[in-house]
Amino acid sequence: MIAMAMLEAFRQFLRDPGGVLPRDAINHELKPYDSDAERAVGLGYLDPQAMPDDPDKACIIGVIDDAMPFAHESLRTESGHSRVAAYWAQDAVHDPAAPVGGDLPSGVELRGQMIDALLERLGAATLPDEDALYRRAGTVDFARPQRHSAAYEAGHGASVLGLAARFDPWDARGRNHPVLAVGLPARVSEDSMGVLAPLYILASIMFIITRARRLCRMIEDVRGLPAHSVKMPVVINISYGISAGPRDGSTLLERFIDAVSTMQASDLGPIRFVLPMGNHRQARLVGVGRRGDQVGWRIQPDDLTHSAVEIWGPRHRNRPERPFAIHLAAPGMEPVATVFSAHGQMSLLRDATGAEIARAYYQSIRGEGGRWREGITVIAPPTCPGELGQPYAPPGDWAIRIDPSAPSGAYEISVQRDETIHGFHREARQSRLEDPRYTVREPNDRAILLDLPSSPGQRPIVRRRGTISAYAGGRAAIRAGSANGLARGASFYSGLNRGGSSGDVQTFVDPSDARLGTSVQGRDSGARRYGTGTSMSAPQITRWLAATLANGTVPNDRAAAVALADAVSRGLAGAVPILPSESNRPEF
Amino acid sequence: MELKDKPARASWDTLEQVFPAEGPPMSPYLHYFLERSGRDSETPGDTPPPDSQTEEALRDMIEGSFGQ
Repeated sequence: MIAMAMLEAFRQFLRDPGGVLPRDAINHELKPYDSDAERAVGLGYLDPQAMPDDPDKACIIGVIDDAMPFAHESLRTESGHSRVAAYWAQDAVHDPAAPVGGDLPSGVELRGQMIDALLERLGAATLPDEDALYRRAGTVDFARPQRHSAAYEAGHGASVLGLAARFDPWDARGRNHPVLAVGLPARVSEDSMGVLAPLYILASIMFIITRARRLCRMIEDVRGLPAHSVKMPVVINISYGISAGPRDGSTLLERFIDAVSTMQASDLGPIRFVLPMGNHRQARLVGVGRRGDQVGWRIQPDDLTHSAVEIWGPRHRNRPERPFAIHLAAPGMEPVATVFSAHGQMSLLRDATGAEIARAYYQSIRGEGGRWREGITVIAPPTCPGELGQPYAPPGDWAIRIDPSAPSGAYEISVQRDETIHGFHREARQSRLEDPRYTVREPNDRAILLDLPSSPGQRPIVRRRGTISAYAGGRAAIRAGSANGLARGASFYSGLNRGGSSGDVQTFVDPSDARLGTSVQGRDSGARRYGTGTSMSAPQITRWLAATLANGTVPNDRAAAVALADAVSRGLAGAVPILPSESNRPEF
Repeated sequence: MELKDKPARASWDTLEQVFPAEGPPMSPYLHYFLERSGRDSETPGDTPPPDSQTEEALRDMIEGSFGQ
């Protein structure tokens, strides 16, 4: 099973050697899931008044993101109860005496009825405000040595959760969409390379599935329905992405999402995923070369984090007998060809003094259709190391050349995302590809949105096509693109797949390419901000898909979902469908 | 000052088998991260926890999700 394979791949990281979780967040006294607790007063997933009237017309919305405001007014019913059935804050302090969440590896679980108790205190003013509520719940604690993204008023998770699942309290549709949400550790959100994200995303998906099943059982109990008769579908939004990888569905996370999407459990409805396309179309992070081609790789100075680039070769019917090679030249140094001989090898690039300046890994993997694909990942250490004595890479223009003797075909080159996420302090600087034939802007300074036609031999290696997030290369997930209202087409930054489309479905996120952002909710009830990017499009598509499933229409695959979106599209004929905008502002 | 007109030398070090010769794709970033973390863990107060039981918890959740 792929989940077990992921666990195996991350085995060395299960003990969290990098300190992703604060030590007090870790559960050292694991207990089995306690199904009695969910029947106890105050520990259930939802108050009966917050449950859907007809579970056959309901769909659970799952959101995996940075810290989320589970007590926000947009997630309450008219009766004042929480629509959030369960929220798992993965890096909050773990209390071994807590009545629920003992089966989780870390953090705190808050069930709907537990949130109700906090909301009751908020209403009675024994908790003065929502900030005090989050402090009381343990998701905000400034005494702990970590990033306090749960306290950010304009946090990513607050906006994504709102776009996916907000309803005015008096809007009865809200009760048809119970929410299961997972707040990832702040250090996972901070790391734009997503090094450890798959492990925590895997755990998050597991949490949503297990709790979704238990919520169905609880509704059966409360409503007196036959066992296993409630099978609510689930739509899970993951507004995270990275920029480098094979993009062919072969990574464990992509395979896991594909497997879960085709799974049909006997006691739960279908599960669907929505992922963003990514925002790096214009960032010069992706290129396509042939054997003998060379492209520059510009690594920034003063970068406290490592930089990386991946080169994935053409697909082969059989495993290549001899690994392909690349020539890597650091600034001011001669090019040196890799000499790999087998899958799973790593080699260090050293300068004349013997110091490590980069490393390369070679892999030969079997992917889609059983075809083999070779990949080399080059990782350069920080150009500005945090401590004396640590390896560092020379900043400047490096050169990557595909060896002329490599097998013929296309070699996809992608630079890994390495940027400072808003609100965090990782001090990363994004490296990029450099190609003199690539044109960023027209002579009149307008940005060039699509790859320009060019004659053979003159075509730039750096491309806008293929800039889709490397999490979104699988077969099943719906890929969300951003659209701008003026052009009724994709926003300039919205990633493109290999065919040149920006997603399977789009939503309006930006009024125009000159005026970016849509109004989104902040952490506290009533707070608003402008948010942009495909992270803001994905939850709107999640919301639409959840409503579609709740109405009993189940798209069996991506193509069926696109056809449904096409039927209501506000975009241009024949283009990627753009869903009609739904006001996400509260009505006063 | 001497002007260098030739690029400096660089070389790939000995190959090291870091992933199993067969098996699913692994993340080079994880390998790099682990190596760096090992280096960093020499810093007092930054040692891994003795036993997190994370693996057992995740196995139970996988069973709970797909095993019934």
